[in-house]
Amino acid sequence: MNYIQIDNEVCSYNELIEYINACEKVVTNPINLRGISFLANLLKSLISDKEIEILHPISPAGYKKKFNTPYKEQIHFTDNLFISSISELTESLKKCQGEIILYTTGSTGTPKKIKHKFPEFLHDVIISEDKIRDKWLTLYSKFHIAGLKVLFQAIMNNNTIVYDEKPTKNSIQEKINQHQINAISATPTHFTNYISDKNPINSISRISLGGERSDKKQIELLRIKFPKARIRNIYATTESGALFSSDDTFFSIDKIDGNKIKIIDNEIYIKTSLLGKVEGNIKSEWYATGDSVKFINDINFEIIGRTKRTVNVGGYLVNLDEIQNILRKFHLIVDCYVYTEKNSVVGELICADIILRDKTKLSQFKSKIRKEMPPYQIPMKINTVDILSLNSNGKKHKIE
Amino acid sequence: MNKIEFINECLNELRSDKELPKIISFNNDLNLRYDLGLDSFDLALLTSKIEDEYDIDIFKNGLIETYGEIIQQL
Repeated sequence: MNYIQIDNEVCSYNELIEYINACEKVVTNPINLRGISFLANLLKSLISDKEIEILHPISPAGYKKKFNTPYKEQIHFTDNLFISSISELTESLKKCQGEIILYTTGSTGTPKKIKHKFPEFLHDVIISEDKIRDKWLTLYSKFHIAGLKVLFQAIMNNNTIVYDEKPTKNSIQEKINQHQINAISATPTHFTNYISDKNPINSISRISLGGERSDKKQIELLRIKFPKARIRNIYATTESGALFSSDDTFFSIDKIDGNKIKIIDNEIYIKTSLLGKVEGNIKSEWYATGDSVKFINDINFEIIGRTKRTVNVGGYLVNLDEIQNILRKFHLIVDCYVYTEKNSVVGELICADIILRDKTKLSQFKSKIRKEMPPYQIPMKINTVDILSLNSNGKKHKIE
Repeated sequence: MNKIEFINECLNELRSDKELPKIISFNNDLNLRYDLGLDSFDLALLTSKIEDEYDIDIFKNGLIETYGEIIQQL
């Protein structure tokens, strides 16, 4: 029997339907709901054609500070909806007029509201016979678009799905064994942080990567660790969901629909009509994603990073994601996160949190980068760490 | 460690990263760029380390050129 495990609560699909049917009312801006209550509330809101706001874990005080208005729970009584089976639930989701509101922080930290209509939100969910036996493990937050997308992928195919929102070095293996997982959805850094050895796990047949750029080193690690897995590297945005994918670090322009996605001046643009409703009303036909690319030949390109991660260091314009990519190519490095701090001499001082293969080789690493990188790209402040700090979306950020 | 020892250690660390020899004895007239071999990025890191330790931005009031000027700021 398939089930959903979320916030360490477990329920079967039949139990989930009982929960949904028992909900006489829904909270359309929940901040206190967790586990199966969160899930039942989400699904009941959607099939009742309500608009539900997904807020990251936030306290009422945090809400007031962020949105400049006191938090007030919005409760709606639902019509006498009765779902008799999982297939009726999935059919209802395909036909409902509910909406999900998400918030992106992007690189600026200021939250932007994005509203996605159902059933369009399900556009990148693949429902097929060969997905029926999938059992998913996701390391994404249930509040993040990637965590929601894999949830609906699982629900629409009646799959088991297990959330591990606070993974550790052992928890991935433990959960794979405990739940007979065959599919994993996570960011590349999740894998770098939490895969502690190269002993292969042959039971994994599917890996969905997303949320940030992945590089050759990470893909190779995954191929060694999960030799039977089909790796799907997905490019997606909170505004649009998944747009294109590949099984490598690069993507091919000839596999992209030019009517929907363009690359202009090495930045990815999306046709505005593909987006959820974005706060601020985008007036132009094409929406600038802020993601910059580099072509490796006429057809294939890699995502470099965020255009907003370009800073002026001593008069030189540098992209911090590009520096990160360069550092990760050094054999001595397992992974790193590059950021800046304000500096009165050069404007911005490049800093890096790095995981070294061998902590005793820091001097050797510093010597190597000085020889091989131009001075304005070299991180001057280097912290060696055992694990990179991840935000709630599973993306690297500065250790506070 | 007192402030002078801290500064001396920082300067020698910066030099060591550039594979320059350790300086045993500093004097106030030593020029940071020409005598100690430091460039803008080294000075940027130096100011950051001093600020982290003593909450003083030695370059706040303008360019510092000599060892003596650093000591004076502290």
